[in-house]
Amino acid sequence: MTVENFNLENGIEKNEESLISKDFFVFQFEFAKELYNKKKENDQTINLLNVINSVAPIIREQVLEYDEDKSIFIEHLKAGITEENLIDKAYETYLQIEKESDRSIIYGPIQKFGPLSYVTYEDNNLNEKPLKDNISFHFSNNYDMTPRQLLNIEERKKILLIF
Amino acid sequence: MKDIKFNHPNTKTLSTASWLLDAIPETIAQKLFPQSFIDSMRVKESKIGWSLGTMIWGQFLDARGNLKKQLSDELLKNLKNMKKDEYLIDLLKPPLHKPKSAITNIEDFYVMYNV
Repeated sequence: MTVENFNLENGIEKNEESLISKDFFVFQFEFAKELYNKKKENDQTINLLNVINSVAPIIREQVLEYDEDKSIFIEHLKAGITEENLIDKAYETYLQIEKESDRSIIYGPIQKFGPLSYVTYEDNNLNEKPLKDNISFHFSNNYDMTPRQLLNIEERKKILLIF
Repeated sequence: MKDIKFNHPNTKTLSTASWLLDAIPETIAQKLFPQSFIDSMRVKESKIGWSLGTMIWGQFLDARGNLKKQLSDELLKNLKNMKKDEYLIDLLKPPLHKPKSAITNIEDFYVMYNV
Protein backbone atom coordinates (compact mmCIF):
# COMPACT_ATOMS: atom_id res chain seq x y z
CA MET A 1 0.00 0.00 0.00
CA THR A 2 1.41 3.34 -0.94
CA VAL A 3 1.63 6.30 1.35
CA GLU A 4 -0.64 8.16 -1.00
CA ASN A 5 -3.28 5.52 -0.42
CA PHE A 6 -2.77 5.75 3.30
CA ASN A 7 -3.54 9.42 3.07
CA LEU A 8 -6.63 8.97 0.98
CA GLU A 9 -7.98 6.15 3.08
CA ASN A 10 -7.63 8.18 6.21
CA GLY A 11 -9.12 11.27 4.71
CA ILE A 12 -6.01 13.37 4.95
CA GLU A 13 -5.23 14.95 1.65
CA LYS A 14 -2.47 17.22 0.59
CA ASN A 15 -3.23 20.64 1.99
CA GLU A 16 -2.45 23.95 0.41
CA GLU A 17 -0.78 26.32 2.80
CA SER A 18 -2.53 29.62 3.32
CA LEU A 19 -1.07 32.70 1.74
CA ILE A 20 0.69 34.90 4.21
CA SER A 21 -0.86 38.32 4.71
CA LYS A 22 0.92 41.50 3.73
CA ASP A 23 0.72 42.60 7.39
CA PHE A 24 3.27 39.93 8.20
CA PHE A 25 5.68 41.39 5.64
CA VAL A 26 5.20 44.83 7.16
CA PHE A 27 5.78 43.43 10.65
CA GLN A 28 8.98 41.61 9.70
CA PHE A 29 10.27 44.71 7.93
CA GLU A 30 9.48 46.88 10.97
CA PHE A 31 11.39 44.41 13.11
CA ALA A 32 14.40 44.56 10.77
CA LYS A 33 14.34 48.36 10.62
CA GLU A 34 14.15 48.73 14.40
CA LEU A 35 16.98 46.24 14.86
CA TYR A 36 19.03 48.06 12.24
CA ASN A 37 18.51 51.37 14.06
CA LYS A 38 19.74 49.78 17.28
CA LYS A 39 22.73 48.08 15.70
CA LYS A 40 23.98 51.08 13.78
CA GLU A 41 24.49 52.94 17.06
CA ASN A 42 27.45 50.62 17.63
CA ASP A 43 28.33 49.58 14.11
CA GLN A 44 28.46 52.28 11.44
CA THR A 45 29.30 49.72 8.74
CA ILE A 46 26.04 47.87 8.99
CA ASN A 47 23.22 48.56 6.54
CA LEU A 48 19.56 47.67 6.45
CA LEU A 49 20.07 44.89 3.89
CA ASN A 50 22.54 43.14 6.22
CA VAL A 51 19.82 43.02 8.83
CA ILE A 52 17.10 41.95 6.40
CA ASN A 53 19.38 39.15 5.27
CA SER A 54 19.87 38.00 8.86
CA VAL A 55 16.43 38.28 10.42
CA ALA A 56 13.75 38.86 7.81
CA PRO A 57 13.52 35.71 5.69
CA ILE A 58 10.18 36.44 4.05
CA ILE A 59 11.48 39.80 2.83
CA ARG A 60 14.94 38.53 1.96
CA GLU A 61 13.65 35.77 -0.26
CA GLN A 62 11.72 38.21 -2.42
CA VAL A 63 14.01 41.22 -2.70
CA LEU A 64 17.64 40.15 -2.35
CA GLU A 65 19.75 38.67 -5.12
CA TYR A 66 21.20 35.18 -5.08
CA ASP A 67 24.83 34.54 -5.82
CA GLU A 68 25.79 32.68 -8.98
CA ASP A 69 25.09 29.18 -7.69
CA LYS A 70 21.78 30.36 -6.23
CA SER A 71 22.71 29.31 -2.75
CA ILE A 72 23.51 32.55 -0.93
CA PHE A 73 21.66 35.83 -0.89
CA ILE A 74 23.78 38.72 -2.05
CA GLU A 75 23.07 41.78 -0.01
CA HIS A 76 21.79 44.07 -2.69
CA LEU A 77 18.29 44.65 -3.94
CA LYS A 78 16.92 43.19 -7.13
CA ALA A 79 16.45 45.57 -10.05
CA GLY A 80 13.54 47.97 -9.62
CA ILE A 81 13.32 47.53 -5.85
CA THR A 82 14.07 50.42 -3.53
CA GLU A 83 13.68 50.81 0.21
CA GLU A 84 10.54 52.84 -0.52
CA ASN A 85 8.75 50.19 -2.57
CA LEU A 86 10.36 47.21 -0.87
CA ILE A 87 7.29 45.91 0.94
CA ASP A 88 4.99 46.25 -2.06
CA LYS A 89 7.51 44.58 -4.38
CA ALA A 90 8.28 41.85 -1.87
CA TYR A 91 4.61 41.01 -1.50
CA GLU A 92 3.96 41.12 -5.25
CA THR A 93 6.89 38.78 -5.81
CA TYR A 94 5.74 36.45 -3.06
CA LEU A 95 2.23 36.19 -4.52
CA GLN A 96 3.65 35.58 -7.97
CA ILE A 97 6.01 32.85 -6.76
CA GLU A 98 3.26 31.17 -4.77
CA LYS A 99 1.05 31.21 -7.84
CA GLU A 100 3.63 29.77 -10.19
CA SER A 101 6.18 27.84 -8.25
CA ASP A 102 6.81 24.24 -7.58
CA ARG A 103 7.77 24.53 -3.93
CA SER A 104 9.74 21.32 -4.11
CA ILE A 105 12.23 23.07 -6.39
CA ILE A 106 12.76 25.83 -3.87
CA TYR A 107 12.77 23.82 -0.69
CA GLY A 108 13.96 20.42 -1.83
CA PRO A 109 12.13 17.12 -1.65
CA ILE A 110 9.41 17.73 0.90
CA GLN A 111 7.08 14.94 1.94
CA LYS A 112 3.96 16.46 3.40
CA PHE A 113 1.21 14.89 5.49
CA GLY A 114 -1.41 17.26 6.84
CA PRO A 115 0.39 19.84 8.97
CA LEU A 116 3.55 17.72 9.19
CA SER A 117 6.27 17.43 6.62
CA TYR A 118 9.78 16.11 6.47
CA VAL A 119 12.89 16.65 4.45
CA THR A 120 15.83 14.34 4.08
CA TYR A 121 18.52 16.90 4.58
CA GLU A 122 19.34 18.67 7.78
CA ASP A 123 18.12 22.21 7.30
CA ASN A 124 17.73 22.94 10.99
CA ASN A 125 21.46 23.31 11.26
CA LEU A 126 22.36 25.52 8.36
CA ASN A 127 25.25 26.99 10.26
CA GLU A 128 26.34 23.66 11.62
CA LYS A 129 27.61 20.41 10.19
CA PRO A 130 24.78 18.57 8.36
CA LEU A 131 23.65 15.44 10.10
CA LYS A 132 24.10 12.23 8.18
CA ASP A 133 21.13 9.87 7.93
CA ASN A 134 18.87 12.35 9.65
CA ILE A 135 15.27 13.23 8.81
CA SER A 136 14.06 16.65 9.83
CA PHE A 137 10.35 17.11 10.35
CA HIS A 138 8.47 20.37 10.28
CA PHE A 139 5.19 21.80 11.43
CA SER A 140 3.24 24.00 9.08
CA ASN A 141 -0.04 25.86 8.96
CA ASN A 142 -2.92 24.88 6.78
CA TYR A 143 -6.62 25.40 6.71
CA ASP A 144 -7.60 22.06 8.11
CA MET A 145 -5.23 21.70 10.98
CA THR A 146 -2.82 24.12 12.54
CA PRO A 147 0.33 23.23 14.46
CA ARG A 148 -1.42 24.19 17.66
CA GLN A 149 -4.07 21.63 16.94
CA LEU A 150 -1.27 19.10 17.06
CA LEU A 151 -1.52 19.58 20.79
CA ASN A 152 -4.73 17.62 20.47
CA ILE A 153 -3.37 14.16 21.17
CA GLU A 154 -5.89 12.18 19.21
CA GLU A 155 -5.51 14.31 16.09
CA ARG A 156 -1.76 14.11 16.34
CA LYS A 157 -1.70 10.37 16.82
CA LYS A 158 -4.03 9.93 13.90
CA ILE A 159 -1.58 11.79 11.69
CA LEU A 160 1.56 10.16 13.01
CA LEU A 161 0.13 6.68 12.80
CA ILE A 162 -0.82 6.86 9.16
CA PHE A 163 2.65 7.47 7.86
CA MET B 1 6.74 7.19 10.01
CA LYS B 2 5.87 4.40 7.64
CA ASP B 3 6.87 6.56 4.70
CA ILE B 4 10.25 7.30 6.25
CA LYS B 5 10.84 3.68 7.19
CA PHE B 6 9.90 2.48 3.73
CA ASN B 7 11.54 5.15 1.58
CA HIS B 8 14.52 6.09 3.76
CA PRO B 9 15.48 2.90 5.59
CA ASN B 10 18.97 4.18 6.40
CA THR B 11 17.59 7.00 8.52
CA LYS B 12 19.04 6.89 12.00
CA THR B 13 17.78 10.04 13.65
CA LEU B 14 14.70 12.25 13.61
CA SER B 15 14.97 15.90 14.48
CA THR B 16 13.05 19.14 14.43
CA ALA B 17 13.38 22.71 15.59
CA SER B 18 10.43 24.96 16.26
CA TRP B 19 8.83 27.43 18.63
CA LEU B 20 6.11 24.80 18.99
CA LEU B 21 8.37 22.60 21.08
CA ASP B 22 8.40 25.39 23.64
CA ALA B 23 4.60 25.65 23.51
CA ILE B 24 3.79 22.00 24.08
CA PRO B 25 3.09 21.20 27.76
CA GLU B 26 5.37 18.42 29.01
CA THR B 27 2.47 16.13 29.86
CA ILE B 28 1.29 16.28 26.26
CA ALA B 29 4.81 15.97 24.87
CA GLN B 30 5.20 12.75 26.83
CA LYS B 31 2.23 11.29 25.02
CA LEU B 32 3.47 12.38 21.59
CA PHE B 33 7.22 11.92 21.63
CA PRO B 34 9.65 9.31 22.95
CA GLN B 35 11.26 10.31 26.24
CA SER B 36 14.65 10.45 24.55
CA PHE B 37 13.31 13.08 22.15
CA ILE B 38 11.90 15.15 25.01
CA ASP B 39 15.14 14.87 26.95
CA SER B 40 17.05 16.22 23.97
CA MET B 41 15.01 19.43 23.69
CA ARG B 42 17.19 22.50 23.96
CA VAL B 43 16.56 26.17 23.36
CA LYS B 44 18.17 27.00 20.05
CA GLU B 45 20.27 29.98 21.03
CA SER B 46 21.87 30.65 17.67
CA LYS B 47 20.66 33.49 15.48
CA ILE B 48 19.90 31.08 12.66
CA GLY B 49 16.28 30.70 13.77
CA TRP B 50 15.58 34.33 12.90
CA SER B 51 16.75 33.79 9.35
CA LEU B 52 14.66 30.69 8.68
CA GLY B 53 11.06 30.60 7.56
CA THR B 54 8.94 29.66 10.54
CA MET B 55 11.19 28.28 13.27
CA ILE B 56 10.60 31.51 15.21
CA TRP B 57 8.39 33.58 12.93
CA GLY B 58 5.67 30.94 12.68
CA GLN B 59 4.27 31.93 16.06
CA PHE B 60 3.20 35.29 14.64
CA LEU B 61 0.94 33.77 11.98
CA ASP B 62 -2.42 32.14 12.42
CA ALA B 63 -3.64 29.17 10.39
CA ARG B 64 -4.86 31.39 7.58
CA GLY B 65 -1.66 33.32 7.22
CA ASN B 66 -2.88 36.36 9.13
CA LEU B 67 -0.62 38.31 11.45
CA LYS B 68 -1.20 37.79 15.17
CA LYS B 69 -1.25 41.46 16.10
CA GLN B 70 -0.98 41.10 19.85
CA LEU B 71 2.09 38.87 19.66
CA SER B 72 3.77 40.89 16.93
CA ASP B 73 3.26 44.07 18.96
CA GLU B 74 4.82 42.28 21.92
CA LEU B 75 7.94 41.44 19.94
CA LEU B 76 8.32 44.97 18.60
CA LYS B 77 7.86 46.35 22.12
CA ASN B 78 10.53 44.01 23.45
CA LEU B 79 12.88 45.03 20.66
CA LYS B 80 12.37 48.72 21.37
CA ASN B 81 13.17 48.07 25.04
CA MET B 82 16.10 45.76 24.29
CA LYS B 83 19.13 46.45 26.43
CA LYS B 84 22.64 46.49 25.01
CA ASP B 85 23.68 43.33 26.85
CA GLU B 86 20.65 41.37 25.67
CA TYR B 87 20.64 38.88 22.81
CA LEU B 88 17.92 38.58 20.20
CA ILE B 89 16.73 35.35 21.79
CA ASP B 90 15.98 37.34 24.96
CA LEU B 91 13.22 39.15 23.10
CA LEU B 92 11.20 35.96 23.14
CA LYS B 93 9.73 36.22 26.62
CA PRO B 94 6.32 34.77 27.49
CA PRO B 95 3.82 34.84 25.86
CA LEU B 96 6.37 34.53 23.05
CA HIS B 97 8.20 31.25 22.56
CA LYS B 98 11.87 30.53 22.08
CA PRO B 99 12.71 27.97 19.38
CA LYS B 100 13.79 24.59 20.60
CA SER B 101 15.50 21.78 18.77
CA ALA B 102 15.24 18.07 19.48
CA ILE B 103 16.74 14.93 18.02
CA THR B 104 16.65 11.24 18.82
CA ASN B 105 17.08 7.80 17.31
CA ILE B 106 14.25 7.20 14.89
CA GLU B 107 13.88 3.69 16.29
CA ASP B 108 12.44 5.26 19.44
CA PHE B 109 9.62 6.74 17.34
CA TYR B 110 9.09 3.46 15.51
CA VAL B 111 8.74 1.67 18.85
CA MET B 112 6.40 4.30 20.29
CA TYR B 113 4.13 4.26 17.25
CA ASN B 114 4.49 0.55 16.58
CA VAL B 115 5.81 1.10 13.06
